[in-house]
Amino acid sequence: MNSLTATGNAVVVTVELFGMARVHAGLSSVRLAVDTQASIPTLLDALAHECPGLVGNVLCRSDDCVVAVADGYALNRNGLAFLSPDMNGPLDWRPGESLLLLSNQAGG
Amino acid sequence: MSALFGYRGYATVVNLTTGEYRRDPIPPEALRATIGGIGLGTWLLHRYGAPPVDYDGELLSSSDRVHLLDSALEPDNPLIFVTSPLVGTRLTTSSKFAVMTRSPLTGFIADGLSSSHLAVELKRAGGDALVITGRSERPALLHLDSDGTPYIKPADHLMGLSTMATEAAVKQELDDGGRRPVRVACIGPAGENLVRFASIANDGGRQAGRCGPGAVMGSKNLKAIAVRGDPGTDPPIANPGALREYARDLSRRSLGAATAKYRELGTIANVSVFNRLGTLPTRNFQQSTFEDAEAVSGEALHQTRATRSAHCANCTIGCEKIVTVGKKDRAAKQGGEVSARLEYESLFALGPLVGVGDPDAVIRAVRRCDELGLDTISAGGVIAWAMETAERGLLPSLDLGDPSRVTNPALNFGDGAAVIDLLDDIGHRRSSLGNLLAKGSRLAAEQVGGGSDTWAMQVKGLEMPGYEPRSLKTLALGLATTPRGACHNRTSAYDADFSPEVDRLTVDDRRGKIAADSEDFAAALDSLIWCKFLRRAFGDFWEESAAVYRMVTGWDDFGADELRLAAVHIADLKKGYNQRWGWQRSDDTLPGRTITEPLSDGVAAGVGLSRDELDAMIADYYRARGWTDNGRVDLAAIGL
Repeated sequence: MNSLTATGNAVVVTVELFGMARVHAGLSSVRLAVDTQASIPTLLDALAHECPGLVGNVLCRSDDCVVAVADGYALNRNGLAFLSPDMNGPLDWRPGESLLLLSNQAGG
Repeated sequence: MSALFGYRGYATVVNLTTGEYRRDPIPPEALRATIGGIGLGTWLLHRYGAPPVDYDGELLSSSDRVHLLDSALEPDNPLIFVTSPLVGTRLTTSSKFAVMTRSPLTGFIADGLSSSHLAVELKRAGGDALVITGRSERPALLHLDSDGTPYIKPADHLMGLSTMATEAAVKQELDDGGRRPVRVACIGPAGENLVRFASIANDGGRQAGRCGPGAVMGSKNLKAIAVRGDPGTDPPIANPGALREYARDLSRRSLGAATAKYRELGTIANVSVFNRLGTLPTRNFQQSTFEDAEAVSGEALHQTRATRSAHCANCTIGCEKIVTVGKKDRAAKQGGEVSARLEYESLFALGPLVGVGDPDAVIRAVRRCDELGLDTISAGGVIAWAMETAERGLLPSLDLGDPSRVTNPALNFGDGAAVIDLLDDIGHRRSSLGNLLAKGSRLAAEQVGGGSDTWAMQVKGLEMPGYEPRSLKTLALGLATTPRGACHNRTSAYDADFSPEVDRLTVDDRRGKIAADSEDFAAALDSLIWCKFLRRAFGDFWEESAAVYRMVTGWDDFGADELRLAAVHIADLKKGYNQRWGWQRSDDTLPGRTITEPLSDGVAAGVGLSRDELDAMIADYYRARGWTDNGRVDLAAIGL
């Protein structure tokens, strides 16, 4: 996990990686300094820069360079709420929050 | 009658008591209405496994209930192997069969599925189903050869062998010079010893695991079934060209994102996620997170242990991960070390549930279950119950008849060696404690008393799978109401909980409909029979599956609506079967712990599930099903 300090309107959000996301990144979590109103695509764009190994496998970049999770993956906030994959608006991030990146296939 | 496509149109019925057999026709309308697999199997259970008197609506005493449990091990309880219209096609994941009987663990319907080459051979040699009744006087091997004639052969020499050794011995015994392989289903020592959660193994360790079909097979003195069919008897396909094209397309989709998790890490990837979400049952559901979860997680095993993928018969996905004991580099050098098929449920049950965080101990325990022929979930569940009971000081004070033979008087969570000892005790019934636990956690708790039924984590007698119901409220409803008992496979209600569709920590009035729909979806999958891991590879599941059914059967007026109706009726038939065997409204519930104790840890700490919340969801579910307020189905109205 990298060391970050948030400044101004920035906040540190921890992205926790599970399954093949963890294997591809070689990390179990990444700390990202983002704007408190960062949207999911903005946060994922920061993640793509930090972990380029995820792009093409876990993250995909559209023609207009918007980053999203690839098919087969899901997002969850703080281990509680699953987020809709088409959620693009600003979110109110607070210090200590986590975004979980995991498979959307729950069964077993 | 016009020619049947996709079906054989009959069941082979073998009576092990008399040694006689016959072929009973199955009416086309019954095939069409129940599809195959678990649907057809339930219809056959009504036909061959009806109670001597109908207990529907009767209030039964606890001794009556125990009698009904025991009677599942009597000769007249049929053991039924069922194929499906898709078996024998080239469709990915379609080489599956259902095993149906009445469970000695629950007293109700037992509907297992397994993937195997055996499915194809069974359809060729046995027809749409093989129904086994009676009890052989001597240990027996039932051999169906290519003309479909059953031969009952002595099997004394196989008794006591592990499932793997039995399969190998039977294959060697019936080898035809290598022309065509014989396929085998068998029991291990656990089935021979009537352990109520014994499984039936096939294809080198795959199991029809839940609800104790292996005990029923053992009660018939039937050690193994061997089948070698004639490919020339494959029923015709109505539209083979279209089916071939569809099969190619589905195989391509099965290798996409929809199955990525299963192909890459397998279901063991659930461990780290469930731990983070506070839904990983630990130490007999006393916690919902496990401090050693990372050590036994799919990601860690992928890195630290030699792991290879394996495929079921005719499957493109390959979710199975064969994991070898010992660190990766060391295991590779040593070779020949113990390995096991690891999937999430086995890993959870013999890891976090019993507090074991040593991956090698878990691998050895899973392997031991497969050898003995034990359902891993129930085995872990009953051992977890015993560990908690021992830690509360209730086990050592028991008079179990012969205390000197209790091999594990001091049981503690986390003791991996004790788990393996206990598995052997249970499988061989070689100690008082092993004998007690071989009955399953519900009966064991009834015998021990002291309130231990509160922490016997079972529904209808079937031990709980690896999903914490207090933090997965929709699944909680599914676990409480499915006819099989605590099962995550006959309902996929957790799909809603792991999505933005619902708040998984709270209850609302949509859950009844969601649970019923997910159960119908599972009924269709399990009857056609598709693998559940394929479910997201479909566009519109109902339309696609109906189209495939038309291609196979030629019934061109069969549409998605009829498939949905069949699924609803299958759910009704399953429930109706339980009703006939004495189901009561009080059977639809959850273990005491889940409705009296809030979660103690993890992100969902403090979250509970009250009796009122559960009852409200159950009432919604009955309404969604169109059943009475007391949850009764009108079987006569279905007309099957």
